[in-house]
Amino acid sequence: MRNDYTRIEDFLNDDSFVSWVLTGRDDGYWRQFLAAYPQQSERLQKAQALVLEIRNNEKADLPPLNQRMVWAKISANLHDPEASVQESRVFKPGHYAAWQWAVGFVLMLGMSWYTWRTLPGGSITYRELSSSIREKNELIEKINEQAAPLRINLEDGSIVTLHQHSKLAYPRQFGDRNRNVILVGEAFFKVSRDSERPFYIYANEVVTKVLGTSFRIRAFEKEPDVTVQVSTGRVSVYKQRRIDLTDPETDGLVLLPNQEAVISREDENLSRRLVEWPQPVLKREFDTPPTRYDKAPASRILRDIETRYGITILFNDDALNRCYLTTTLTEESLYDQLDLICKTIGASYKEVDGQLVVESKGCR
Amino acid sequence: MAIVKNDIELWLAFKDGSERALERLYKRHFPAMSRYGYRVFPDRLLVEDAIQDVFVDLWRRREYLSEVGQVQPYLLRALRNQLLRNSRHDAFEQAENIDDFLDYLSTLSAEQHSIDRETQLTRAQSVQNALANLSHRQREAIHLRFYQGLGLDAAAKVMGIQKQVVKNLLSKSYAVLRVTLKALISLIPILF
Repeated sequence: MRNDYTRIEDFLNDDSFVSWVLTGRDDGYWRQFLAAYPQQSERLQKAQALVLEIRNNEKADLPPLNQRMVWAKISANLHDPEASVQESRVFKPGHYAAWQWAVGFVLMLGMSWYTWRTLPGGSITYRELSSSIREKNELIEKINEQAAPLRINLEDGSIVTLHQHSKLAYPRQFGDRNRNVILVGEAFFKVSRDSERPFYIYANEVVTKVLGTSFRIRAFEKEPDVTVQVSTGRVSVYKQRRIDLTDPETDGLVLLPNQEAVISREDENLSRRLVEWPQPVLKREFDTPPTRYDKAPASRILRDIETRYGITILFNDDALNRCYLTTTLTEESLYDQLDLICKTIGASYKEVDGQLVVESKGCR
Repeated sequence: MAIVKNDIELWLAFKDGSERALERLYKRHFPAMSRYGYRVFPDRLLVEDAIQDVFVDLWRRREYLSEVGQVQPYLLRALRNQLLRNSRHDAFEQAENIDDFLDYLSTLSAEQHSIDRETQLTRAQSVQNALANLSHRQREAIHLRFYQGLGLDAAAKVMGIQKQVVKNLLSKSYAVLRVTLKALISLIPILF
């Protein structure tokens, strides 16, 4: 047993001593040492106090690093090594000087978005989504457990009506480039128009991008499908997945009013169809009376319906120009009206890819 | 019941391709790595990215990695290298050469500073204040030794310098601490 400690420093430079203080290793040795050299006790205790003081100080504050998000990125990269090399090249050197908070937010978002897309197929949870978006802004989280819908006003004037058992996360202040929110469950969105800042809704693996419009999204974590239904405007929907190219929207669908997209979370299936109860797009702001048609050509009536519901109806103009009918279009459902018209003129209709096709042999 | 595996067992499992083992190593070392990374470079994004790179890199090279005696210094060393690679921080790279000179300067100024203040020191001064007077590299050495608990050899490896240089950094640190902490003599029993 050596005893050449003449200063506190000598203890501090002794690996065994430091690790004993920090972890309790070599405890037997140091007990024996104290017993053998009681005159060292004061010096040793001071060294011990100093080491602990420094340790506690260094331990005091954990830098605000996001452990979960960093792992999410690592984990995504483990399966796709080439992507990670690319990512490193794109985002690495030189950028750091500029990586201040504002820019950083956008880039981090871009990176995390990239990472989601590189996730191999698997489902994306609310937690992963929110930890990725929670960057500059703390996210506000609203949960509606009540049967009554909850109305949420967002900073940009958009309004979200949140249904029961649903959750919306959104930043107090949206970014300069985009507006991102996360949805679990079902909600109706009325997004105020801002073509500079697209509005993105992340719901499970589905991204819905809009500029300004109204639509409904249903995306419960336990359900196999995600549904997006458009009331007005134009919405683009796509899945987040790895095989996406630079512009994931090319793989997506553009939805028009009264169309809905059903996205299967399991496979890559993305289908478009008409909603079950199409609603008129044109608001009857000043209570227009029901439109009455007196011996009008069927083609004209169908065009009117097209405009009213914002749905594309395909038919042969020449054939239907000569079909005349007298009818009144009221608040009845779209399909009831179509049934009536087709019955009268001896035609039939079907839905193909979110559009209606009316088939007729024409009228004599 | 979960069996607690030590670092070396986890390291071997991860080299065998266990992603779960890698995740456990990550979870275990993330706090220490982020503290150290942040000590070297107080830039959150930079440190997060470097930690990410370290683990992704480990995974990709896992078949070529040798067995390590201690995982923690290895990870800290990898993190430090990664931070340097990612940052291209000129001042930091040059610091390798002019390090001693800078440390000398900062020791002088810190000592002078402390002596000036000592006369008017009436309130208790914490170790934190004392540590704040250390140079960047002194602080790093102190951190590795007394928070991470590394031996002199391991600390030298992590910092990529000779053991003797670590010793010098540390004893200069003690000198700064000694002066700063003199005010504490009556408050807590730390004496040199």
